[in-house]
Amino acid sequence: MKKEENNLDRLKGTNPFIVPEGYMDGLVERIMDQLPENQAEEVRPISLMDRVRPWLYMAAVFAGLGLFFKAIVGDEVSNGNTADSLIVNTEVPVESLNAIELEDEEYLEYLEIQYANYLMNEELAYSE
Amino acid sequence: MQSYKEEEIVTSLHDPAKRREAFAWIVSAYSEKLYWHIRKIVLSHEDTNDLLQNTFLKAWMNIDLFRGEAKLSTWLYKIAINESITFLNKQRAANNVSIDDMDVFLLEQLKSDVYFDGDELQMKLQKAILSLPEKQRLVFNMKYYEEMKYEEISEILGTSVGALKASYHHAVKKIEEFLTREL
Repeated sequence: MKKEENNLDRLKGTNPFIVPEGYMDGLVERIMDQLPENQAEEVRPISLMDRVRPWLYMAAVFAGLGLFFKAIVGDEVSNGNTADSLIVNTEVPVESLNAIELEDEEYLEYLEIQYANYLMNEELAYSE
Repeated sequence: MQSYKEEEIVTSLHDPAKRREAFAWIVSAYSEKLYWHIRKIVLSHEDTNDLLQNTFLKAWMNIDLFRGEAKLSTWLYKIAINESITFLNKQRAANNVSIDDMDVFLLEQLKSDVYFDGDELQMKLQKAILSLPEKQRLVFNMKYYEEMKYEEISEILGTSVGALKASYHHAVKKIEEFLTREL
């Protein structure tokens, strides 16, 4: 153990790594020469448009999807195309309702006539 | 470096008119220390020269992010270590070298390096250091070669002083054992 400690102690403070002659003398100048003149120019400030741009893109995507949905699915619904099993048409055409009203009136008239005939037959049978 | 001087420098860094002059002072104060710090990690002079330039370039480009909460030296050492480790990882990938064989790869480079002037014992010491895990190697270099205080190393590596002392102790023990076996 003593031997190893001596080895590390003996090597302490020595530096086997060397540099080219004069390397350290001009080091600061060489480093500074390599730097861009003004680092502030390199870092572009973030404008309002840069901040808003992602939200604009997102809004455009949603608007596009909305138009696409309206163009494809919306037309099919308005055309009454119910071939798609997921689309259930709950609208009742106005003509159908009118037809029911007309049918009801005719039916009531028919019942009235029938009832009137029945009463007349009853009366005639009673008088005979 | 005296703290009042560092405060002045940090203030000047945020003044566009004085920024470059202040940064030149930083380069003057730390370039040599950082050179030797990087050199002990990557070993080659040419690579060290490039990484030192990259370290200061990165610091210059990100100077607005430095608010003076940490010491300038801590900030620069962190950048230098990150640059060096990233470089070694890229070098390892580019040469298809596994993590386990990286020490052999670096040692072979060192043997043919004209800027390494060590005897047999020095070469064995480098071999022993290269056999250490990455963090132990960093701690050993900073303590043994650069004689940094544990508190300073702690700020740079983000590790507790206790853990660093243990790490250095293990590193010294491994190197001693390695040298005993090899000699």
